[in-house]
Amino acid sequence: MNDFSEIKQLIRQMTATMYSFNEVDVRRAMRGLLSDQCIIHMPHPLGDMQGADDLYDKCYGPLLAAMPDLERRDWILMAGESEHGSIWVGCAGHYVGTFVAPWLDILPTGHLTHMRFHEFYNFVDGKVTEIQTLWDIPEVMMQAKAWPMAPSLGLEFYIPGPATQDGLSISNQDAAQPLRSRQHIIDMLTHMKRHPTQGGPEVMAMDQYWHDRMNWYGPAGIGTGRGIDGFRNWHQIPFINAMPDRGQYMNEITYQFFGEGNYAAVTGWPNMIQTVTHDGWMGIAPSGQKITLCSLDFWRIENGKIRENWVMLDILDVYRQLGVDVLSRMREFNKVRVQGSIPFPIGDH
Amino acid sequence: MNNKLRLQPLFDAMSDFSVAEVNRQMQTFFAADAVINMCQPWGQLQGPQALYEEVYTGLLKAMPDLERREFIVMQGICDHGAEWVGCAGNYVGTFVAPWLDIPPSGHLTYMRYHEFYRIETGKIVEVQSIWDIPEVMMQSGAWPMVPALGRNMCIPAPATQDGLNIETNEQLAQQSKQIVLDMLAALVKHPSQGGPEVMELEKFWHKRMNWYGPACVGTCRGIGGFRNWHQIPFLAAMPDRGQADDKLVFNFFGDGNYAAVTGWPNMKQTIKHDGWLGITPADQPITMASLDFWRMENDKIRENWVMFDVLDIYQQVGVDVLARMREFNKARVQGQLPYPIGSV
Repeated sequence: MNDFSEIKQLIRQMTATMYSFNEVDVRRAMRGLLSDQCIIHMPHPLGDMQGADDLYDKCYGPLLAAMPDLERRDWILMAGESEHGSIWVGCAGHYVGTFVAPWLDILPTGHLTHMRFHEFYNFVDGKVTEIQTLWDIPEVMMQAKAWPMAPSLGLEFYIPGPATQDGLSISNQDAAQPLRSRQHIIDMLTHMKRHPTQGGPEVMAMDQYWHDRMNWYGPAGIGTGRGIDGFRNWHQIPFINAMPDRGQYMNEITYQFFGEGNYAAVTGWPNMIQTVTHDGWMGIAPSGQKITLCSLDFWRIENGKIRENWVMLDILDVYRQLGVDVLSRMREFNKVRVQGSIPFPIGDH
Repeated sequence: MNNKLRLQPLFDAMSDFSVAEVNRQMQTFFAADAVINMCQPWGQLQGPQALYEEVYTGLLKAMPDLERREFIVMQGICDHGAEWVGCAGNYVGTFVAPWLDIPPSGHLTYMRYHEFYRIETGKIVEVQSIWDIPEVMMQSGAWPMVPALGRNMCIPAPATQDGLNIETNEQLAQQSKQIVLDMLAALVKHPSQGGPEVMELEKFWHKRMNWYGPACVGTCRGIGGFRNWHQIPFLAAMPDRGQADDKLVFNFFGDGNYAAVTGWPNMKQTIKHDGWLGITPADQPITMASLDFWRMENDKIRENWVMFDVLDIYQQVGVDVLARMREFNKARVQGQLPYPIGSV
């Protein structure tokens, strides 16, 4: 049984240095793990970069400056082989810190601030050659009261890790389990994509794949939906109303699905293409704009049904494609706020 | 011609809103076939009966202690020779039952109105009216679109508290109107003919000016505030504003230190770029009815009340804001509050 425990251990060594984040250790760990030419896809506005130092200097350095007590809190670590034969490690968790200096022009809150991450690492010969990462930047903006776009239909909160607290110790019960878990998701999605082109919501057979107390943890900007109704009301109905052609461009995109234990994950950059033809999604004015999405997702299966689903999309990149610079709109708001940093540590002790 | 005085019984009836009296006064003062241009979601209605039944009945049910609190009443004859009365104020009431599917707040709730009445031979023959419905949605925590860049608040009456007894002075009225026309002539030079300096804002605007925009844009104080929270984003998105003015009808008139404009619509522009209300730009042409009042102080504009129909703009770009609000409402307990609330 190929359980990928070795590469998970390599990721753990790097993420351990980020748990008590300091520049020297993190740089050293990243240089050891990433190939020199490693392609790194980060969310908008961070963009694409190459190699460990580029990633550190463009992403982690500024984040550490904003949150001097930065801490990476993982709650899912899983690995597997995708249907394309590539080896991936997927991580989910939060970056947490005391937010005391502007980051991406988001003004500091002075409080503990959390930012969810979904990160996927592609391994070749023991080195990471590609990273696909989403950080929930809008989540930080919302905590800083600097979210300048439509509020979410779903609930915004500090997204929890797996209810079972077993996300860091995922292992396979038998050799077939990774494929079983992966197949459950692929079958679920196959049914899901029949709606709306082939029929009403019933063609999705949601009861067959989803637990009736399911949680769908969406990105900030959409929010969380609980139960099949919650998923439908706060995410899927508006999403499909606006973009009824979702799932119709399968040959233009690449999915990387893999399973481990009773978890499954997907990455792909991008892995969705659809057209904003109608009203309904995030208040966006529809005018037939075709957009790509990177949906980086994790599922936890319980007794043969999906009980938890962590979903991330790059909402800032969606707006970028539609011609709206969200951070620029935020900077308009910022004109009325006192600029600057908060001393750290804050106040007297 | 004193149309303000003539219509006073109608406005009095609305200040302590009661079905019988308002109905009676409306029947008295409206022509049976009056054209009523209301903001979204009503659109154009005909006659006082339709206005009462389709618009006021629902509002009165939602706010049983409804009160129309006027803070400006102006009259004048516009360049096209029509007699107008312009009113600004707030509808105020205890919001206890859903209105347009907006869930009740249970508290005093205010909604600004700018209403213009065109009079012919003593009768109201046309109404152009915008109510700030988004302002009500915001107070109910049910605004489903982008937040305003400016400040949201209950918009005040003129600082001078003289909006209900504007001095009748024809020379002053013409002078007030001319200040606004000259200001606008300079204003529309930017951006097509130059940077912000071509607007000569300091020449026309008091440095402590207040620009009271609709709830979706918010209120701005000072020339800097006006530029930051309204004009810069507005022109960044729609640089062709003012380029179609010769095809539009403006009804300007002055009264004492005040000036006003109405027109349905009186602006036409294209959403070419990012910047305004977070709307995705796709060259959508839009029209707007901007219904505005200005107060002059020592020949400069010190206060400016501006209203346009943001729900209508969203509708023109394909977004049904009230439908999006109803999506939110699914998570809220439906129903109404007893009125009066609690045992008193």
